[in-house]
Amino acid sequence: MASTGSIKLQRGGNAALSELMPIVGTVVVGFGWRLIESNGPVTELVPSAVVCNAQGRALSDEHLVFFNQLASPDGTVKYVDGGDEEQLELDLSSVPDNVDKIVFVVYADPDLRKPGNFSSVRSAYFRLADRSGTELVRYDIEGGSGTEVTAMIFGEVYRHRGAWKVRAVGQGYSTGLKGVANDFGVAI
Amino acid sequence: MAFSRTASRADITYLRRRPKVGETPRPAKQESAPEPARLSLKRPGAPKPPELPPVKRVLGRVLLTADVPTVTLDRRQSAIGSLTFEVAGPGAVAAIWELTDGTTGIIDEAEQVRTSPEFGRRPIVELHRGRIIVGLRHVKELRRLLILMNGFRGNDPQRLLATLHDDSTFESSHVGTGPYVAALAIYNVDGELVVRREGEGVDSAESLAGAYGFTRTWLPPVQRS
Repeated sequence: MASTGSIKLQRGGNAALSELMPIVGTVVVGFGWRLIESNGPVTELVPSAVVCNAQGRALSDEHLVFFNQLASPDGTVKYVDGGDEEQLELDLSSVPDNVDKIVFVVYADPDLRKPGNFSSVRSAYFRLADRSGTELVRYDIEGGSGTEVTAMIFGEVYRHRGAWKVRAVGQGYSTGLKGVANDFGVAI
Repeated sequence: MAFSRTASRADITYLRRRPKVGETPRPAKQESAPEPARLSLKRPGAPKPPELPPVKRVLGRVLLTADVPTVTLDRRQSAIGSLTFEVAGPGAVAAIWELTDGTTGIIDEAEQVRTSPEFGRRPIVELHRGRIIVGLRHVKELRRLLILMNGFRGNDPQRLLATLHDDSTFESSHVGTGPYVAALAIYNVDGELVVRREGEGVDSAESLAGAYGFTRTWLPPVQRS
């Protein structure tokens, strides 16, 4: 896709969305990865978004947006059908004032039949695009990840002095979705 | 055609004469013209469904009884990790499943059938080391599930134990009113798994499938030895 004009982020890097698009309205968040082929059960990665308040906690259990809870209660963060492996759409102009950031978490489904980790995951990324599909910013997650990583925060979109910014996080969790959910105060 | 400048034109409403002093004006004819279409800048979308209160989650240990026969798993509990079913005691567990595409099948150790169609190279319902495992990552593919028990000994009740990914459990106790007893029926209601305690006893899993309207359409591929 047209990625020539987009900004490449490094881990920890950030960018102001207002500098990437004329009007900060709807942005599409795309997630992607490649899985190393194996004969056993496939690693099932599930992208999700946690809609957080200023304290970094989820507004409610229903503010975890994933494939079985397709939109936040106010409808401003939702799963959509599009390109990439999965896509979310954020309506940043309508996000309620009590929302301070939207965190993108990808977890390996903790099926008892394994492997519930990122060991076979390569070339994972997340990117932001406008509604026409033009890529604005992209974060290619550096390096591979070991068997100890069972969930990962890819990045976040957050308010900074009244404007929206995006940050590349790339922080792995060894405690899986459970650990992430604990940190954000979501009952899963 | 001669055009009279003085005759009133009854057909053109705005040329009708003004009412005389003291005369009650007739109300203008109410045309039920449709609302003019306005340019909408809104994105078209489906009407919002009515807001329902969130489902109370299964917390800790839930007992399903004849008086309290149902429980609903919330949207997270219905879609994360594995849901397992096992019999506490000497009996065995079996399952009858139906996918949203209408495919159905029976999992029963007595018939040596332990699998169902795979998603992500895992059977969506599987008998593994005496436990039924349901892969909830693909819960959208599952329409309903019936969990059975057999191997009853006399009038001893048997306990069916279900465990969620967060180690919460729900369970029910049954007596052997037949060689096979339908213990729990699970329905996927728009992403939430609704569990109901059953209790009917029958001769075989096959006849129970018939009683619940499952037509067996799927058998596992023949394994080469």
